[in-house]
Amino acid sequence: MSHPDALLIAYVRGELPEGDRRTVTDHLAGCLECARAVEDFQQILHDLGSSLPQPPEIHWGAYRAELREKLEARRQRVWGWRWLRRPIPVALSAAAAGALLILALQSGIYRPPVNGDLASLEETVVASRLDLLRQYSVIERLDLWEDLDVVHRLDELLPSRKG
Amino acid sequence: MELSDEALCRRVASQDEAAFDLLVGRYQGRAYRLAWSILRDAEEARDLSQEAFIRLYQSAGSFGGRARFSTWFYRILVNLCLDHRRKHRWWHRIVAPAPFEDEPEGSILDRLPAPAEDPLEELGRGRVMSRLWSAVDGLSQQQRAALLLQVQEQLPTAEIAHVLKCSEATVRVHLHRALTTLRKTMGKS
Repeated sequence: MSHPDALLIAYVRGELPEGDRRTVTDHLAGCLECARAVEDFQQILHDLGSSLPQPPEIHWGAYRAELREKLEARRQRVWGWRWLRRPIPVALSAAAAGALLILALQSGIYRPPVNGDLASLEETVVASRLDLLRQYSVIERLDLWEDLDVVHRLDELLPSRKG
Repeated sequence: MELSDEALCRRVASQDEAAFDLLVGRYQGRAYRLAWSILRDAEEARDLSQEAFIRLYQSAGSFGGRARFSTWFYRILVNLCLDHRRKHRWWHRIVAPAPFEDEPEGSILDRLPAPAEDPLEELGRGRVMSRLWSAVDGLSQQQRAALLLQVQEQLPTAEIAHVLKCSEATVRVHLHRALTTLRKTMGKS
């Protein structure tokens, strides 16, 4: 005998159409195993429904105040994103950033890097003019390799040249 | 005349704060209790039920009215809770206390309804219920959620299916397996 397992829950819940309900009822009349299962299912559902554990008490005023705060915070975050997605503010921001960049370039705040080969050539010329190889010990002590203004005035640091 | 949940939800969609407050007032208890039943943690239940209300506020416009408002809202809430449990499963396995021991009150006996006339008989029944609910906590998430939606919220199978995003047949399978497991645990089979 095949047991109508798939229908038992719907039977217990009273959700079977009349035809199926009659089929299950007839089966239960002749099948002790299924009849016990249905009885136990009904008992368990009744026990669970009548003994629902209660969660810890909660202060609903505080709960709602906290919910308000969270909702407000979320709204502000959403507004921030919306502002970023609008085309006019984004275009204005981009224009302002561009203007600042141009100003910075013109006023000399920003110095673009010098081409590597050109810089190397300049250093060679300056070094040869000032006889840096001979003055290397002095320069090493001063640790001023990169300050060309100081390097340019190295001659003045040597008393023998002045004399 | 009192507005229906569905009418209030439509008002929330047009940023009606008073309608939102009314809906929160109607559902806060049920939302917190259901979240707690799934999570068994008061803080998480509080946090996730609030999150469900925020989602409700944000997506009220997408409520089409095909389902009841309660079903639609439970769907948001239950899925938040199940996702949360899924993400934190490994962590719960390591640090979570045994079922019903996360509260200072301890045993489920403290959380069951007050005893009636015969204290001894009620104590025995309380122990049986404690075992039964501990077994419920051991069920798979989907089985437990389906069972809770049935015994706690009294939802019909069609609505449980909508909440859990599955077919009615799947809900019946979840319920059948859950009840079969509980039956075995209680030594009835």
